Formats: sequence, C-alpha cells, structure tokens
Amino acid sequence: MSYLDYFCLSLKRDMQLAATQKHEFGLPLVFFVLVVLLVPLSVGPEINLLNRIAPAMGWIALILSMLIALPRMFAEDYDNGWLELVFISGQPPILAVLARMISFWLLYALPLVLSSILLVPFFQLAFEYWLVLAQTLLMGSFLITALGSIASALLLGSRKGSAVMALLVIPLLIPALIFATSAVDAVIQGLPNTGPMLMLAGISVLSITLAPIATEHSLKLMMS
Amino acid sequence: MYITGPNGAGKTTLLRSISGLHQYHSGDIELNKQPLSEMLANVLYIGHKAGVNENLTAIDNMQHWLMLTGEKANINEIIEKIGLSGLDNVPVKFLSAGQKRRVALSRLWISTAAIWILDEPYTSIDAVGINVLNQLFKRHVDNGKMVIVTSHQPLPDDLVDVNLNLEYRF
Repeated sequence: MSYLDYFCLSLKRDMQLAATQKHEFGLPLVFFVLVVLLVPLSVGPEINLLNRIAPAMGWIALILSMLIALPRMFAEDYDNGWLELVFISGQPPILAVLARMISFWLLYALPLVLSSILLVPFFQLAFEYWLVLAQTLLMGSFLITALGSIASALLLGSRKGSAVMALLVIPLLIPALIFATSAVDAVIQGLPNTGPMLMLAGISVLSITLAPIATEHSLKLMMS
Repeated sequence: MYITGPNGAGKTTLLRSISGLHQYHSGDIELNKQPLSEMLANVLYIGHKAGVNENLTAIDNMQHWLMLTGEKANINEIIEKIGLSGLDNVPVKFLSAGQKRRVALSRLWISTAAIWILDEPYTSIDAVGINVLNQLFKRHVDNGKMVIVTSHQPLPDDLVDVNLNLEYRF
C-alpha cells in the first residue's frame, strides 16, 4: 500500500468516525453561534461599539470553541488502543497524524470560520471587512489546529486536560490575535494590511509545517 | 512462549517492549540477530487496549485493521469463525465483554504476522472460545511461527515450549 493510499484511508476512517458521533462536532459550532448571538444582545444596539469589537469577538469565539474540541483530537484513539496499532503498524505514524489534523480542521474549524458570517448581521460588520476577518480566522484556524494537536497529544491521559489545554495554547495565540485584529483594523481605517496578514500567514505556515512532527513525537512519548 | 508472574511483575511491560511500544532503558531486543524494531510489520500485538472502536461495528473495525496493515481477508468468514454472525452490523459498544474481546481477537485470523504477542488473550472468553484460541495458537506454532502469551490461566502443556516466570521485585 502506498503512503498516499494509507493517508487517504486514514482520512476516510476519521470521517467515518465523525459520522457516528455527529453531536461531538456540533457542540463547538453551537457554542460559537451562541457567543456571536449573545454578545450583541448584552452590549446593546450601538453600531460603532459592535463594529469595533466584532473582529476581537470573532477571534475569541473561534479560540474558545476550538478549545472545546481540541482535547478530543486523539483521546478516543488513545483510550481504545488504536494509536498503539498505528505506531507499530510499520506505516509512518506522521501520515495518520496529518490525516487527523486535516479531518479535525474540516470537521471543527472550517464550520466555525464559515459561521463567522453571522458577525455581519449581528455586529453590523460590513461584508468587505468580514472578508478580511474571515481570512484571518482561516489562518488562525490552521494555527489553532496545529498548536492544539501538539497540546492534545501531550495531555493524553490527563484528567484535567481541558483546563491545561487553554493554559498551553492561548498564550501562544497572542501574537496571532494581535496581527489578526490589527489587519482588520487597518482595513477599517483604510490603511494597507499586508504586513500583519503576511506575519499571520507566516506564523500559520510555520506551525502547520512543524506541528505534525512535534505531535508524532509527543504521541510516542505519551504511549511509552 | 508462556509468560507468567504475579501482578506488577512486568509481563505487560515486557510485551510492550518487545512490540516496540515501550522505550526500555538498556539492552536490545533481537530476533535472529536482527533488531525486532525493524520487523514490526511482522509482529501482531494485542494488549489490554485492543484498538477496537466501540462506536463502530465489528466489520468496520476489521476493515480499519486491514487498512492499517495492508492485509486482505474475507471479513464475513472471520465474523462466522469468531461466533458473531448476525451481530456484525451492531456497534461494538452494544456487545457483551466476551463478544468485544472476540472482536479484538479476530485480528488473529486477519493477521499474517509471524510473531503474535498477546497480553491476557483469554480475558472474558468462554470455555469454547478458549479452546478455539488454543487450537489457533497450536496451528500457528506448528507452522514455524511464534506466539508469546501472558495469562493467569494455565495453558495446555502441549502448547508451551518455553515458560518464562517473572518475579515481582519492588
């Protein structure tokens, strides 16, 4: 079996597992939508204020929603022993790790990025500003998935994994958060935003490149 | 090879070390002067956590094992052999403990690996099932292959070539 076949079959297995547990990947989405709905209700109909906080709220909702799902990334396969089989199967474990990260992003992160369109009606955010925000959220979702996969692997078997996950991941997201909000702010003020966008893209690409290797080693460490 | 010893003696640690899951501190594990870590594709390990996803059916689980190893097998035939005919489309979580263990042990029929490393394979298995397993082990060994088993249950004498008894040391 070629590596590509193995990778595709791993991806297919992840999708099949997700289909048996639909409620699992619906929960972060519901949380995200609720945050986006409840904040304008509590802040009140001040368009300028809502406009100003919309990018930050989009990002905070994305981070918190993904933190709900991240501890589950490898937990089930670790608990039932599937990960052990992957590591002694003779196939490169990094392919299964990569497949899991991609399926996680497709199932959990992408729906959240698409749902951020709700910021347009509820925060009175102009559509062209939302397009920029959505680009930053997209890059942020790659970053959170990458960093979260390492943290998720390191916290396998930990009872307080969810709480520690937030402590591990959120501080590392601060630079991305700053670049993302400044990119959207720059567009709102009519200034060029290439700099912060490129910095955000650079951070995301670096994380996506290194995270599968770090995750594979973390998983191996946790199993021995 | 039949590995015995009290709880905590290190039976599972030994098996996990042989199968490449445990990072041991010193020494080497070799077979015919070749590191066993280079022959993992020829090793089948079934431990306490057997890699069975309980949300999936027995058939789905078997298909995933086949995907992992690249092996081919007639799944329906194996379902019949392990006594789960009619339950093949039921998620494993709805099966009894013994039936779940049978699903896990079905990898013995799927695998073409020469070395079977089995940690407490008889757990939750009834007398008929134990007899079937013993016959399977015998056939595997008679074909010049190897079975390494830990169990608190005595194995038939004709099945055991080497008995390794581990001592508990604190």
